[in-house]
Amino acid sequence: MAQISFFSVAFKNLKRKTFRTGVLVFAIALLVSLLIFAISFTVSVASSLKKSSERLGADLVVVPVGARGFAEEFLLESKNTSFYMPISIIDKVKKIEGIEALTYHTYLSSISGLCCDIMPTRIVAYNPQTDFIINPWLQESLGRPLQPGEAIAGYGTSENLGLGLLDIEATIFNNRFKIVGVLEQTGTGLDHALFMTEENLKNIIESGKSPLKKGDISIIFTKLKKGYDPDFVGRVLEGEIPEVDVVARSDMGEKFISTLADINKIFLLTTILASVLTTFLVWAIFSAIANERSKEIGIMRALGAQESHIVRLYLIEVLVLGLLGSIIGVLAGTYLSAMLAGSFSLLKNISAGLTGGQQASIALVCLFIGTAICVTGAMMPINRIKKMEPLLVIKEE
Amino acid sequence: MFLRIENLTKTYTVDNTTFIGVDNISLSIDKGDFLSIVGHSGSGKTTLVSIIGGILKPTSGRVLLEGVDICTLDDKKLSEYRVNRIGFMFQFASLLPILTARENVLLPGIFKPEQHHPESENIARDLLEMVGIGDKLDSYPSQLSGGQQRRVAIARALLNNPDIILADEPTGDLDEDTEAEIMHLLEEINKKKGVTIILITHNLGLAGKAQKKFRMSKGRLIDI
Repeated sequence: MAQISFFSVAFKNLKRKTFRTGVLVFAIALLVSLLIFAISFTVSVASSLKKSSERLGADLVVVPVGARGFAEEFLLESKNTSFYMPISIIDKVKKIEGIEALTYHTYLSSISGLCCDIMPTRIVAYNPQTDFIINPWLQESLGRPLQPGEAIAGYGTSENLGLGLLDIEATIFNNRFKIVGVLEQTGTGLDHALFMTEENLKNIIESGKSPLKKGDISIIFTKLKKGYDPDFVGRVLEGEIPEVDVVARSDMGEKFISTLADINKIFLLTTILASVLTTFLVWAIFSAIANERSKEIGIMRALGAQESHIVRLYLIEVLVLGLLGSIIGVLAGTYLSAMLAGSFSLLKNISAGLTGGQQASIALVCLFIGTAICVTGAMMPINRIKKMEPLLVIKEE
Repeated sequence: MFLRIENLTKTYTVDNTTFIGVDNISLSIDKGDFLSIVGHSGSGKTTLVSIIGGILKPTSGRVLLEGVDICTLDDKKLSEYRVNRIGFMFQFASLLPILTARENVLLPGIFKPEQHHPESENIARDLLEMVGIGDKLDSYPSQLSGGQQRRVAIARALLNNPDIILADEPTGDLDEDTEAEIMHLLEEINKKKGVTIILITHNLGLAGKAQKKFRMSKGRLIDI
């Protein structure tokens, strides 16, 4: 025979009106789902931007004047863009105080047509001698440098190209390339590119199909000596070399960050409104419960219940409701976030994704918020319940 | 003296008008006494037993149980007083509808500081058998008749082995036969267990069965 306890009484109370209990659980679940989605969205975008800029390993990125946005689209999103500056800029950059190392990339897009037998994709040509961006990734994935006539696909490129990949051959701007592998995922926009060394560019330019001209490069990545402030060196660079724009690592993805700030405001407003509504709903329902059960509470007080016992009894009800709603909300919110991620170009383009730890932290925070909102809404009626004069409520008809 | 009531007064103020519920009552009760109090509605009977039971604070006066003034106890001590020493029976069906007969009887046990005496289950079963509904342990109040519900309430009042049972018109809405059965049960409890019983009733016949009989009128207690 089961023992009677505060828990068993609270559970029986919850089962007393299953529809009402269901409505409350559903409301809390909805709120928590919204919270999960909002937080997952903003955290995944923000952390993806941070991860991407850190992964590139450059303190400053130098691009042609006006190409800053294109560069960010190329590096952080999956967009095909081309922008060029003369290679002579490198010598000017080298002269700037504080620059320790630099390397450069040349970007171009393959096109549909007879010259190329793969779907249009982004191509990154790099200098294997100076490179500190691609080489470490290559080392992890291939274990050796790329040779002329070889290319390696970024993590997301294999899918985009529709290739089974590995040891297949592709024609790009009338040049045959052997695709020797796929890079590990980096979380940057470069996951969607095809990589080759710059020695291959000469033949591509000679094919005449590419907009690229001899001596053009797209971007310069620089590492600074210890103790140099990236913002300061960036300002000097822009002052000394008027043909370039400079982006510091911390400023990467500024366009996203400002968009994200606006999205955050909308999410914040929506979640505040939803929280207030849920708190009000819990308050209203528990006020009704207080009225309905006032006589029972009076009887329990007469039987020896302390004020703290009454609070405990109703707090258990609220916590069960809050936790149940929050758990359902966390599961639904996490599922929805994963399902809907593909529908948001912002998420799709930046290789966004949350780590298990981040997902667990968000789930815990939302679990706490959902339960806390439930308790907050119920506390006023519960306080009223405990203060009821037993005789008055017992005599109430 | 087991229970002493000294100059007990309770007034209510509603819309600037003061009403007297209990008017300067003094009374001494011995352990094992069976008292009855009769009186019209609004005469202050329920107010008096509510103060004795610790669910209502008096405006002035004292209620001394074995020398301790219960009117000065804080919520925790007062609750302990109610759970350990008082058994309440109300003038209506006072069972929790979500609990079975057995669970209703066990309910006061969860409010005791030393919760769940391992024997409480057996005690509850024995009590329900004693009041004649041992076969209704797992029935819900909605499945019980009015008389059966009152029997559960008596069993509940006895769970913690109280010193005093405060029975506020416990048979008010019952038929004569059931009323007599409940009254018989209370008499048995008084005689066999030595529990002090204060019975409030409209029924002069029932009141006549008590050892000490009082009438309340306009908040005053008159010995009859």
